[in-house]
Amino acid sequence: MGERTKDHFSLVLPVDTKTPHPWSGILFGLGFVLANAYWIGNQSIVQRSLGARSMADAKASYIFGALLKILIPFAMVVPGIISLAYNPDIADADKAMATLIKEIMPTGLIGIFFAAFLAGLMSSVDSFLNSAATVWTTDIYKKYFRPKADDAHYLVVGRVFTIIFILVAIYVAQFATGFESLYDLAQTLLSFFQGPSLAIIILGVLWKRATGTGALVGLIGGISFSALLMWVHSTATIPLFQVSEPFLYVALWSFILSIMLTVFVSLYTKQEPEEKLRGMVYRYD
Amino acid sequence: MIDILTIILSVSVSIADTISNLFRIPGQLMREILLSIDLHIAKSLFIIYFLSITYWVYKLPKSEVILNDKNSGKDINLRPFAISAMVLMVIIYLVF
Repeated sequence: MGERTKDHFSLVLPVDTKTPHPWSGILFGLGFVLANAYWIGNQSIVQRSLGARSMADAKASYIFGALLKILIPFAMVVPGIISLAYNPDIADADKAMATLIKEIMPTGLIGIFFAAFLAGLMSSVDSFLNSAATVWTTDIYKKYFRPKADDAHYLVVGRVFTIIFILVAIYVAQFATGFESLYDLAQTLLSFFQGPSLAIIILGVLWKRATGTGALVGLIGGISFSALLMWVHSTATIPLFQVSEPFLYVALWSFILSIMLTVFVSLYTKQEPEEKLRGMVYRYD
Repeated sequence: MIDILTIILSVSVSIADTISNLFRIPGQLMREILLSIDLHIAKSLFIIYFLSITYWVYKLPKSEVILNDKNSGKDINLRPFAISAMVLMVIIYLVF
């Protein structure tokens, strides 16, 4: 298929690759930060584990999920490569799957495929909307605005948050065209938060000296740093990073900065009381 | 109005350029170091990473990996499944 596609069968791409996925970004940004942030701290994963019947079920679900996750790249990549073989000149990666389906599937099957596709999409979207609305309703609204309202009130608030998130998603969707693919857009948005949140989770679990104030400063500092890096990259005359979408590097650097800020501020603030830490910090019973 | 926007834009670009230049020197140095690493060595780093996690799973105490299923009353050993997942990752990186 030529020079343009020679890297399509290689997982380890050179640092100066034209794609947003150089090996250095994949190893340090995805392997060390984003993947761990997703499995350890992503609300959609954590919420499901917390809903397990027992610790055994929760741990087993993670292992089973990890085994299944290995199959997903094949399910995502193989159709793309088949599509490329059919249409070597295809320019827009997001159109590869749709073009392939249109070309090889008979009319009736196309309808069934899109019904299944939409069902899967709606299932994922409603999980994310549900988990986001839960976090905002119980952890923010209930905690800081109306602590003593009845359940019916929180149900309404949760629905309002759901509508707000849908509107935000519709607004954000317009920026998709500026990215190489929808995957890169999703990862760019996640990279703002994943690095800093992983940093404070790791320190909170492993280091008894970490404090709430330190974590808050680390989180806000890390997210701000991510935003700064992205802004500089898109605004400066010469882009800051030499890859088109630098979300892997942004996640790594915001993670490192969050670790440094959390450690620094924690050392200068009062340690959390022992009874609060017991059972929450690794090997601190 | 257009003048104000132009001024804001040019100031933004100047600030971004200044910050970008500050990061560029250490960034370029790191980039050159990474560029000098052969792709085969890079691939080895991935494999070493997965093998390290596999070794960590292998060394975890039994109490962490053998869990009792309250429904069936049987013990479930999660270690072989976790190691299988990691070994699959190693194989994938060896092949691709």
